[in-house]
Amino acid sequence: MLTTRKRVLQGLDRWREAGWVTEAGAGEIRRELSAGHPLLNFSNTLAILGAVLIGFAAMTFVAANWSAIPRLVRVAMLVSALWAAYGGAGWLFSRGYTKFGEAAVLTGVGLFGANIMLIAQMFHLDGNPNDAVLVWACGAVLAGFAFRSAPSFVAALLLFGLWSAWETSQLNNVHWWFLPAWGLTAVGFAAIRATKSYYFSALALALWIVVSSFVLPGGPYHEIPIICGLIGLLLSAVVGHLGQEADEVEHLLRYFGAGLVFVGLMSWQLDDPSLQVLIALAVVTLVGLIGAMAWAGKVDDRKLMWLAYVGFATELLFLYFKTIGSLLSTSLFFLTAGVIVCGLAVLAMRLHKRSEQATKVEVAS
Amino acid sequence: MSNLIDEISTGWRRPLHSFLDRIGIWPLVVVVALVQTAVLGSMIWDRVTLLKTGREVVVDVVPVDPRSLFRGDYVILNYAISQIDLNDVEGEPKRGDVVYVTLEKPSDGNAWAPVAAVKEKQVQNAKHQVVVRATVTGRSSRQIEETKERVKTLRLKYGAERYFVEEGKGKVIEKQITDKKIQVVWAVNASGTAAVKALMVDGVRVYDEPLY
Repeated sequence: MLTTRKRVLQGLDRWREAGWVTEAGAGEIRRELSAGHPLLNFSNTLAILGAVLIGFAAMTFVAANWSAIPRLVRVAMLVSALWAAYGGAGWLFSRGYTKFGEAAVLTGVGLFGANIMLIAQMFHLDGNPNDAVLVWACGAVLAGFAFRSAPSFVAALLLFGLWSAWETSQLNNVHWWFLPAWGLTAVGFAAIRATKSYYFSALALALWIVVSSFVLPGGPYHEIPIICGLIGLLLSAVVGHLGQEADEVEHLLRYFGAGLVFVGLMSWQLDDPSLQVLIALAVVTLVGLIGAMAWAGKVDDRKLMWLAYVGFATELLFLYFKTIGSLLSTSLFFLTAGVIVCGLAVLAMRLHKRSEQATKVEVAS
Repeated sequence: MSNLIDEISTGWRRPLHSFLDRIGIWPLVVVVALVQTAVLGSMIWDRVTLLKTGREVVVDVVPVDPRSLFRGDYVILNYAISQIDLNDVEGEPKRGDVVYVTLEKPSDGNAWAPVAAVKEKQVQNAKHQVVVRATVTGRSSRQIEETKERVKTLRLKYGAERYFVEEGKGKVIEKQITDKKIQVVWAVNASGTAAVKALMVDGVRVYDEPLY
């Protein structure tokens, strides 16, 4: 798929010839697009990758438990490395190399974790590994706020997730403390306007909701993700009415709301309900997905369209395996599904034609 | 993009950014590095104090050898007191509950043995007794050899189940200890936290842990 940048560059000459864009305007657009050069982005990505690798190097160095160096010296080495990483970050920030500075901050966060592991190893600490991860995550949050660094907040959210997964498996119940921790990183992302990380943040919350619906005593409660998803979709509609300003948030709520509803419906069907309930759920799921496709077409949202396609294929495959009694019944199932979908396609085309005519009338008048 | 979140957060985002801008990058570097170093330092301090001042308790072990992904080789210390008879336990502790186990030094032999376990926090004052904090990990049962009778037991974790060794040394130590009697010396503080202080082979203290 072409990136927006490429598509604009390709269309620019055509638009200039057609007189939609002036010569000067085209030059300005080119200049702005080349500011975010792919090679520059690539070098930033490499810097972050390098930071992650250095973090792993420190951790495996700890793991080797090399007794040739006394352990106090090892602690001193890793703590000095931590200071050097943050110092380096300060130097890079002051020189204007923001992205490289962020990579250095991430290295510092990784070294903080390696230090915690080293101390646990030195004293044969086994008490509660989750507590160690929590301390590490808090260190990452501190670095995130101080240096206004999105990668640190991402690291913190990953660590909070690990901590919560650990606690959930021990408690065998919902781990509510994930919510304030998640909120802390969400505030961090909003504070530094790390728009790309909003999706990651939403994904983490959605995962927590799904896991919680399973581990809640007396569960699984498949209604929980469905209700949460519907609330998300409702909020998305409300935000949509606030005007174009709220675009990103509207999309976020739309994708994760729809995703949660789908996951809830799927897990319910996988939970061996009675035949009537299964049929009802399958119909609701398929109708919902077709509705999502129609909506995606109306608001021109390609991502939602693809999500709905994938969901539709998943549901059909699931039903195929569920009904696989005899080949004859499976064939009948596909025939029915095919006829329904074809009918819907015809309906969709008619609606499209009607709306096109309506627009033509509008333009003419 | 994201103007809704922008609008909501403008109120507090501006003071935060101007605050950070006013401080400047170098003081921030020092604050982050210093806070993280202090956290690490306090972790070390906690453990050193425990090892220095905690009461010494000797317990029997049964070792196994796994490997920790990030922390290298270690020996899992499965203690003889990791399973205690349910008859010694007061109340009905569930998995994940904290219990306080009273260990007593028998007049014959050096290994301490459990005499009671309760859910309420205990004060340790008797000289021949010590209270250790443990977490319940499940229930089990074991057979008494003489009577062939099965007794119900409670499985416990003391938070001192790992002994880290240099990469590759785990197997060597394990081989060494298969036919020898292995014991661990714990340091136990007033709140009942136990830490591994030394390893004993056939009643002789080897691998005494340096404090740093």
